[in-house]
Amino acid sequence: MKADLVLMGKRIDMAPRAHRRTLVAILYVSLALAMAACWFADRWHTSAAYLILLTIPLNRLFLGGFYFGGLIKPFSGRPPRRNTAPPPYLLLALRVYKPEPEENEYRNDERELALRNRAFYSAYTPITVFIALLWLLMNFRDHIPRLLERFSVPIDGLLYGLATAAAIAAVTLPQAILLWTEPDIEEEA
Amino acid sequence: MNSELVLIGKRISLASRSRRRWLVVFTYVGLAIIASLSFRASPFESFAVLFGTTLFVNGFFLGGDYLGGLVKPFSGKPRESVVVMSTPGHLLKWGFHRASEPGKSDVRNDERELVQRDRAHYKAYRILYVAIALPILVILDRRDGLHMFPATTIPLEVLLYDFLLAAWVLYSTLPQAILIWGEPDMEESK
Repeated sequence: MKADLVLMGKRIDMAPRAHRRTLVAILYVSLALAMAACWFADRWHTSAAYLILLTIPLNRLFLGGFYFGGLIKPFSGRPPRRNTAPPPYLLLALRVYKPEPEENEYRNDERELALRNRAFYSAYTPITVFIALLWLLMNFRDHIPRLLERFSVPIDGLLYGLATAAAIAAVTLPQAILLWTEPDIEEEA
Repeated sequence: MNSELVLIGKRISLASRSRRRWLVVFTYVGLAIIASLSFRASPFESFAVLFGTTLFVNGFFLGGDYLGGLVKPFSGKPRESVVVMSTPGHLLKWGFHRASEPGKSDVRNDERELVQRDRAHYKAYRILYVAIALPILVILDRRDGLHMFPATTIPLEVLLYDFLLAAWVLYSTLPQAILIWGEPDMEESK
């Protein structure tokens, strides 16, 4: 795990656990607010797809894990795909481009592999719960609709929102668990 | 991991990996047959059948969730009351019980087992988190009339029910199956 984030050309120290926990909290609160805003905007009709796509830059810039970039090394331990073209002007201007990574930036050591696997073990149950909830909600909608009559939200919209939340959680939760649980990192001398 | 199962009153050695792999294959073939039969019933009936079958399979063959089966409880805390205390008499009569009384070593995972448990969950997660994509596609298809599944003759809602139920069964059994499949031959207990 990296001890700092470079954002807009500025280093942000992420060695203390409190900073990382704040980052995780801010990301999930932002995602929840974005979901709520999208509901009011178009009832998640088109915006839900964008919410799922939003996890790509979130992972690339902050969390890492499923993509190269962010605090967590790639779970796969593979280097990012090489691009021979120079970085786009926008990235140069924003100073968010990265030079060619060294091996220790993407290769997980034994301890990191163990931590990664433990995080996936912890994230496994919540995803199972999401699947069970989806099934239950579909069942209630089609077979016991009176149970859901109290909700003012259309059930199809609720189902779509739950599936979207599950998709977002599936690609962010293991990284968030790692960032949340890893103790303070010692500063480099 | 335990190296034997007691089935129909008989001890079956599962120390060799090939035998354990056969157990996994038979378990999933059995689950697939039961699932395909239960999907013809109402959703709650199919859920009850598959939920019960999964409990039975985990409790007596695969383990993982309960004290029973080959894999030790993942949490390190046995939920004995479900499997042992409520084992129906006729199942005991048919010999569906544990090989021996559980000791502490039957429950607690050591360092190596914890590492294997976590690795199995990592593999299972990466296989199954794509399962969430299908509900989104089906809901989109139904809402916007995209006809993304022209070949299906089954109504999409029914397909999604069955898919989610099958995904739930897989989620409940896959880490154990990965562990049982990947563990090399064990030494026979004397």
